[in-house]
Amino acid sequence: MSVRWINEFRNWVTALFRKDTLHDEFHAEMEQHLDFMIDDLTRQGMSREEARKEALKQFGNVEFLKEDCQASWGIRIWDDFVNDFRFAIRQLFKHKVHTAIIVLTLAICMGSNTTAYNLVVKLVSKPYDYADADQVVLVGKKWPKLQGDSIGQVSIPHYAFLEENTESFSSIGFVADGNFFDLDLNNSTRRVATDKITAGVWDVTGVRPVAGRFFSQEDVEQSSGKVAVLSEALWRELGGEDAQIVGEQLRLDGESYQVIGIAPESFYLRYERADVWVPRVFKPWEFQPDQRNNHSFSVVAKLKSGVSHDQANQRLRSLYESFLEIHPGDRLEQERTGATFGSVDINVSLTQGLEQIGMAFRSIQFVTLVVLVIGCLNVGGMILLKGYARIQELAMRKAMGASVFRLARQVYVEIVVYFLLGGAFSILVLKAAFQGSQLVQIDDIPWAGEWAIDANSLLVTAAIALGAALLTGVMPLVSLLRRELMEFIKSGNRSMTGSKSKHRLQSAFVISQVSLSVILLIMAGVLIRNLNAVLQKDVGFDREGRIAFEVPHPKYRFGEGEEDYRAKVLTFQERALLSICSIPGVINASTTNRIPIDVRHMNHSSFSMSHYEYEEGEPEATALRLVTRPGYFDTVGTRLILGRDFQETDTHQTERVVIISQNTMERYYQGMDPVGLSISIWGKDMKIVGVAEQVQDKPFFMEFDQYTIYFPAKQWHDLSNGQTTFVVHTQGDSEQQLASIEKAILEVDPKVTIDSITFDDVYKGATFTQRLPMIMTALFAGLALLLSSLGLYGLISFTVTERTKEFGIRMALGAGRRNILKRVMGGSSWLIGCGLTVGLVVSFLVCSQLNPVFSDVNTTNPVTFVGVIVFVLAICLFATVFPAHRATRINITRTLQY
Amino acid sequence: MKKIDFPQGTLEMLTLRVLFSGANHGFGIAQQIHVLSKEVLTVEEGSLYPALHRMQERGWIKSEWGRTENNRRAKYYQLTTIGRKRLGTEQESWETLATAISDVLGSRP
Repeated sequence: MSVRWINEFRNWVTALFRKDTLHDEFHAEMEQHLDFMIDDLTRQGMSREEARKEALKQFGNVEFLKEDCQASWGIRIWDDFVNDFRFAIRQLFKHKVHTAIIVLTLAICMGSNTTAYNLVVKLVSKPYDYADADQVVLVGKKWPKLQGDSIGQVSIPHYAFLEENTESFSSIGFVADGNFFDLDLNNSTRRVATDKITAGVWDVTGVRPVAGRFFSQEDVEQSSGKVAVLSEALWRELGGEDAQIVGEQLRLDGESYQVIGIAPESFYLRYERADVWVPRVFKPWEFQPDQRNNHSFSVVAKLKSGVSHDQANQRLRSLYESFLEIHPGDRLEQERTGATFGSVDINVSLTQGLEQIGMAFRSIQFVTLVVLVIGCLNVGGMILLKGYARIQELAMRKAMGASVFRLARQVYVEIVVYFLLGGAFSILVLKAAFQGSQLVQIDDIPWAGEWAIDANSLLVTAAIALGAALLTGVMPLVSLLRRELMEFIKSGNRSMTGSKSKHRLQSAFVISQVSLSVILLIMAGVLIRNLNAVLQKDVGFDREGRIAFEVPHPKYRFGEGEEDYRAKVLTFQERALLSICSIPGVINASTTNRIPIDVRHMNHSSFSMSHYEYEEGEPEATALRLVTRPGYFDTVGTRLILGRDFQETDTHQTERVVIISQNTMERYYQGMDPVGLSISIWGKDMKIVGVAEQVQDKPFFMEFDQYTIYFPAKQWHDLSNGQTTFVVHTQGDSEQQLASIEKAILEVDPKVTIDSITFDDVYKGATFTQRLPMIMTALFAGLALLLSSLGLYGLISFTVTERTKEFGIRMALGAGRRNILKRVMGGSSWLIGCGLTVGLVVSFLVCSQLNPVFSDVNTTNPVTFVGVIVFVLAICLFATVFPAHRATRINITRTLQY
Repeated sequence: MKKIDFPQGTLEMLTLRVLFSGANHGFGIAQQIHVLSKEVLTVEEGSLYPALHRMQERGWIKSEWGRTENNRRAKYYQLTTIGRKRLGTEQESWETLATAISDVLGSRP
């Protein structure tokens, strides 16, 4: 048997390439046979001419003979394949609506899956596309007892120590991100995000320059660090290739840097996408032991080949022990927090600690997979229906000897054609989804700035689709080819009202579709409720009419130190505020060092209180630092619960005062009035003058666990994060106000750069992780519902059509319309009930697992469940009523006539 | 001439038998069967060639182009090892069947 298969296979392959040769050979063989016959007949005494005629007569039609022989050539299989393909295409055009529904269903399913896959890969699984990203790690310090496995930043002495002991790494680099420079563009200033790095970063990331080259350690030494690499975006903005920027000098914060290379668009190191990379030059004092508590820098490294992540981590742990031997003073911290060095895969590092973002995108992926399953069920169901419509043909062909293989191939060729078309159209869906994702501000996630459709994702979708196609085909095939044909032949041409297996199959379709839609809808319901709960939360400030203007005051213009701060920064602030307040429509204005709920500028300090002793092992409370001017609370609409706001009289010459947040009071001043008490920060005592209402300081996707302390701007020169954020409460058109306020600030100082944003936009960014999955899930749930109601409608109406004859008989025998209606509705409502039950049970189980993730709502709240039940029932009713109604309107005589 | 239908499968067996005595072309095989059956059996081209191609596909016989005695090009078929074994089993079961049938037909009630 196996020899035969091998032979056949060989024949097919030969046939594919030698089709013409085989035909020629056949004709030659027949010619030769004819010649033999003619020879034979001439020998019997015929003339050559007569013999030829006689031979041709005896031989018969050569083409018929060829047909018979071809069966054994292997050509047939290709011809058949082409025929099946043609047949499938003809079918597509014949049933246009049917085709359109199937192709649309598949396009939506595959398109959404590819989109979700792309999103998850880009944002969660593999945000970095470095050359060997799986060998690149983020190295840092971790505090297992405080923060688990998440890798924190290091100080310069830590980095110096790591750099000297790099056994596990082939290269190591230092990153100080989140800096800003003023780029002098002659008549204007542009603020550029800058990463200060060591030359090692280029080796670690393996990135290639678009133009020019990257700096090496020698470049840095020779130029005393005055070289710069620009991002492709900034390069293009400045004129790109034509402007011949590489080799030229640029002025950054008043100093001259030589541009030596351009980094590609896709390159980025940490959360912000930098415009410029300059060398980080270390000053000798930065290596002093007292600098080792300044954990403000990141370290990236590339593992030596053959070194595993575990080995590297082990080595790092023992390195920290050696570090402690040099700095025994840190032992106490280690005992308390478990501090050590550690590393984490660079692709994991970005979302570590931002679990909500990861969860959000994974939930989208889950939802799209459910949609795909529903879609495939639909397509399977529709193909099955078509199959039943053609059952007579299939049964006949099988009876006449067509092999199961042949029939299966035909069904599959058809399915594959559908999937190919669906796949082609899914590209359009994908494109639309990408554009849609821009609308929902996907670029609010900093590392998502530029991204293209990943070729891999298309392959993955193709694979999923192929798998789905094969699975889709199995059910109709098994059903059609196994029992149904035999039943059909046995039952003759009667309609198959009693076909049990078909009934079972249809039931399975209905039940699974209903239950999947229920699950999806409930998920969507939970997400929407979660979003609502988040949006309803009092964030502690007002957004309406509030605009923030971030104005950096770089050292090269505003100097540093207390004197400069008072003379330059404070003066600038005061003049700008005067100018802003004189604009009509401005209700109030003040300054701060960070925008509420924004992701940036989060500096914390630990504090202690005169009345409160930390217990043994209790970590010191840390507070987010806000530096504000008088009037800030009124401007942003935050209430002062107790005490007073800062006053113009709170200056560097008066007693240091602070305002604490509501949660600080609730935690540490239970039943006390904190106003008038003192709090100690950096060893300095300060008097609490007020308590401010709780404000949502951080975005919702970050864990909120800290307190807030407000400092008066006039008392502190070094807490401003190098910038002033003007907050303005305006009336009227925000856009217009924004422009006139920017103008007012520039009138005070034409060389500053301004980054302005309305509180509404800040808020949108901060609720991103709630909004995106909510929108997507709701969208896909709606889609799934549409698909499954189409599927339900199709299945139920098909059943009704099929039973028309039966109903005709029933009605002829006296059954009333109600009776028929009851029959149709009864059958389907039982199935729908089953589907609902299954769906509800599964979603309840899933949702009870989700409770910790969506902490703001009770995910198993009955309201969602009841709502979904009502909704699904309504849809099902709709899908059943029309077919049922049609069933009662049949014309008895006409139905029974045929 | 009275036409006798071949029972299913016998044409293949006869062809194998003819080729057992040596390679031959299609016309030659038909002639041989005709002659060996004392002109009782006539093989039609319409059945012979599909059978030959089928047997070739199954690997019982193989073919190559050659020259006849009067230097004419012709496709020669010859038995493969599988074909030889096949002939053995077919012949055996045929003989068993033939004996059995003639026993039944020859017995008197």
